[in-house]
Amino acid sequence: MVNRYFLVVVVFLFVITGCAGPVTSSKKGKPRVVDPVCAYFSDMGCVNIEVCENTPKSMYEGVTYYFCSSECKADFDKNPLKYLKMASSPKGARDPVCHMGIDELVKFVPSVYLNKVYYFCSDYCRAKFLSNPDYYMEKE
Amino acid sequence: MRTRYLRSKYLFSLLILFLLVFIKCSEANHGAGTSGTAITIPAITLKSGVFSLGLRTEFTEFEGISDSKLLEKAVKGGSFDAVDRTLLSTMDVGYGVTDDLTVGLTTGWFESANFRESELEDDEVNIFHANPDGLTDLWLSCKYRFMRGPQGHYAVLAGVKFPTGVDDKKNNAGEKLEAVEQPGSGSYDFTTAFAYSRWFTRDWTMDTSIQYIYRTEGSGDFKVGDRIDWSLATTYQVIPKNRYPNVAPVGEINTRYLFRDKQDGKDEHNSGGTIVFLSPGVRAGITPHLGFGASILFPVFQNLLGEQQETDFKVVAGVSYSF
Repeated sequence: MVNRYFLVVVVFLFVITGCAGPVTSSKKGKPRVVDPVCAYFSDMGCVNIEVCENTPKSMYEGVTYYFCSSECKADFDKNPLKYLKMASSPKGARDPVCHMGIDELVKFVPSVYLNKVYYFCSDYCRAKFLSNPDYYMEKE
Repeated sequence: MRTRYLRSKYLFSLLILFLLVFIKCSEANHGAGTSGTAITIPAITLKSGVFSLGLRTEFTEFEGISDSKLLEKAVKGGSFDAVDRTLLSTMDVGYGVTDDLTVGLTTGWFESANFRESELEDDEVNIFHANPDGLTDLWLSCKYRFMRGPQGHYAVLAGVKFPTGVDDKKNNAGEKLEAVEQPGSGSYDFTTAFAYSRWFTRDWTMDTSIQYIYRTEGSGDFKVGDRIDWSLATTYQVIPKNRYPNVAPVGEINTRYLFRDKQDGKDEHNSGGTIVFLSPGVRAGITPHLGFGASILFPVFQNLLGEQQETDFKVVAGVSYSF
């Protein structure tokens, strides 16, 4: 009896761990942005989100931030500084489009492309980068 | 004793009232969602200012023991208790004091079917029946997450149990049941735990925890044995957890080590042991505020000391609501 249960459980675990592969190649090319609320909570389940028409977003001091859900957006709108303080950039990071030093800026826009985080001085630079990422990555 | 029971009911009513007063839709908590496991404690805490309300049911089916087998085991071991199945329904409320500190209260209701105890006295064996149903003790606990990041979340947990439950149940001969058979043990107990959670990928998470429960002497000079639980759980989010409804299968392993009970400072021969459960399950996010989880626990290894009744399986199911 116990052996039968054991077999069922082993097959079950095998199936679910088999499903848990890396991101498929078809998804690799899609640009993603960082949800500052999920980044604050280190919630890696939805920290990198794809941007589409319906993606919840908020504007704060001229910069647009995107969120995985309307709940994260609501949290951000209540206290944006709480979440932006955590989004500190690594020292020496540069905007790949305008080459501005990110650590000199008070605010910046993080974005993820091909599993790497890029930091931009503005939405304009981020959009420019995402329109032709290969060009800017080669220049780096 | 009647007064104590009424006091327990009064405390339970106060808790319900407290929950009703504070139920309001204020803030979502889809947050870092690695919870929903049967036993493993995730290192994730509630967001600051968020309440969570959980209802959980644990059904346990024990090996079948007939009256003749019960008498046989009592002759062999001196005494033997048997029950067909038990149902433990618990309710917990949690509050995020800060983003990394959560406090919680848990209490419940215990029910059993066909509880019997047999004892060998003066070369005579008798079977007694009892109905040990009632309110369980109240746990107050706090969880502090001391580190979080892409490499994982780390948390410690501490808790104390207050003897608010029913601990005066008697058998049909009018004898008081031992503390381990009562819904409430009548003792102040303490627990400490360490928990770790991390994401392997965006959808694949792992939680592990180790918990120690230290028990003090309860009613009838009886001390229920201490307990250590080590658990490991993995979850794969089939539908991303920021989309609703979403679903995730859960696989879990739990090792439970039970120390021997003590009566008047002496070890109880028929107590203590080790049980290993494997538990497949499922967790679902219905809305950002409402979640559901269910698991079946199969004991794949049982090494119970002396003469004890083995577990056939357990079913754990629960819903949680955050606001």
